[in-house]
Amino acid sequence: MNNQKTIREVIDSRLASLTLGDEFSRPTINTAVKPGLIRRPLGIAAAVCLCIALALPVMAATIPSFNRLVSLVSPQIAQKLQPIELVSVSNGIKMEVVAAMNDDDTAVVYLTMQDLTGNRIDESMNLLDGFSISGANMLTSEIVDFDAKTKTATLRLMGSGGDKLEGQKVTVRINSFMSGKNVYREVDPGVDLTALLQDPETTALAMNNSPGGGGELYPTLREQGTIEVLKKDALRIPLPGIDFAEISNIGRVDGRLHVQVRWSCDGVENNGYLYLTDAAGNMIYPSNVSLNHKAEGTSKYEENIFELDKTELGGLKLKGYFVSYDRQTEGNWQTTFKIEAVTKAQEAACDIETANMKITRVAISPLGITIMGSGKAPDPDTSHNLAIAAIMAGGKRVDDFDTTNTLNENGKIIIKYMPGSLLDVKNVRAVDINGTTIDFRQ
Amino acid sequence: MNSIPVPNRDSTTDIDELVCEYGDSLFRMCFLYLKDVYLAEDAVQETFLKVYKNYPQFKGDADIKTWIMRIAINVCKNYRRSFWWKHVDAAKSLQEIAFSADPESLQDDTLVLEIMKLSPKYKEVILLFYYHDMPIREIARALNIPASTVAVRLKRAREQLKSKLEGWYYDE
Repeated sequence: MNNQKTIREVIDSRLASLTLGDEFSRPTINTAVKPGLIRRPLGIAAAVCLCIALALPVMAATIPSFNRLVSLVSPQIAQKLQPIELVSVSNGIKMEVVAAMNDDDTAVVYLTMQDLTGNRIDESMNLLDGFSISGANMLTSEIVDFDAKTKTATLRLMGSGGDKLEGQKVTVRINSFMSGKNVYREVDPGVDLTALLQDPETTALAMNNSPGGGGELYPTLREQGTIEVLKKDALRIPLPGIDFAEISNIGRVDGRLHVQVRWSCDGVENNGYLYLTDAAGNMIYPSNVSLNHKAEGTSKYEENIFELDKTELGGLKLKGYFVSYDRQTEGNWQTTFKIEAVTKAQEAACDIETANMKITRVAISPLGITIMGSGKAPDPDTSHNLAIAAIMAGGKRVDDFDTTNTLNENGKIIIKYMPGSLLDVKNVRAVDINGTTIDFRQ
Repeated sequence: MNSIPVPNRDSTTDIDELVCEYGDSLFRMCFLYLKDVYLAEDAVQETFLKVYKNYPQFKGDADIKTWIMRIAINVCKNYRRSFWWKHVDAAKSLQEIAFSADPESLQDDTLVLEIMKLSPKYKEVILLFYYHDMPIREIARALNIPASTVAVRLKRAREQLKSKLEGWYYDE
């Protein structure tokens, strides 16, 4: 047992020999040579480049954007990507679908967006929900590179959950994106929580009429059917520096602290959240309930509910974290193409009961592991989440998944677990789900 | 980004002082993250290069340690995404690191290996919280994610470590 040592002591003790030499720092800084090029043997570089060049001879020679993409992704992924090279220009911005790959139910698309006329694209650009991949229900996007010189962002879009994407025509469409991100931290409205109204005016909210919400308390509130919320716009407490949201009422309702926020709906997807913090910097987050649909007016109201009694409020401060974007750019960027599956997915039947879900089928493909079943999807933020791993020939476990996509439709659940690199399907011996092993050797 | 510059702040920094204070711990963190001594050394070098070059633009709206950690984590993430990245056997990499000659030192790889095996998103919160003693809100700033996400990842990372280290070691 090593219970006398902290994690820090254990790491420092075990890695004591890893120290930076005296030659580090000033001379190193002054040379200003890209570090990765100093020690990596050029021979390895040449060998890896040669491998890629041999694997993709035609593409590398003729498609500069694909060639550039190859330098951004791992060689393993580069070899599975199919070049697409389709361009769509709208509103002075060029979208090029550079390459894609897919399996039965997931498509991964790499594309670039380049502003030909202005500076509307930057490293903070975010598609949010302004894009679609036909046939896919669960969508994610992330920026993987930004080249300031050419004002070009490279993005990876992933879409899962569709019916048999393999061999189908896929249409990628972008309608809008946000850029010019501003982050506002520790916004303090200066509210004295101890001086709050004991019985503020409230109205009843039928939870069925609420467009949604979240947080630990939310399921309980939904079960209640009807809850009391603060009357809208009874107060106006500004959030310093924030012109797209303000506190529209605050008070204690049924022993809980309610803080109502009015968000202006000016078409830009500004967002944020409130929290309580104590002197030690600990944070308490609220559950929240949306009070109206955006379409109903120019403002959107959200009730933040903290489960705290009055005695706990004394040492706490109400603060906020907000994100805004300087601009939303709209356009109609769209291309349609056909891709073949990287490798046909292998499926196996199983019968696994978890706390919320019955799993009946598992599939593996280079893009990841898909589990299919019925019931309720596991909450990724609780310990009810599934423990999934691919067990490789030789016993190595692959359980490092960068992305998890969940589709829940009429009780039918599909969850896709995608690792950071491709899964070597032919060497997958089994899949482990919460300790139950599903054999894939046949 | 909106931020308030700190008045009268020196626009240059003593890089030697920063290397002295954070260098070794950054090196060890980068090794645990990248599982490769040479890549880790490159990552630390690139981190300090960025610190040196960007210090005049550092507005003082975060703790210097948070800022350096954010750069280091981003450098490590870029390495993982880069052309060079390959999957490395953590156990083999660790075996190549000599144990300290100090008789008091730990001669056991179990905990370090389990930390290396965590997925990056769990590994980074564990390292920043336990190894760099950073509070959750500073980790959230360094990783540019909500504090609630940090708390959830920390909880899940602890659970993973706890299940692997039951009966051997646990820090809490």
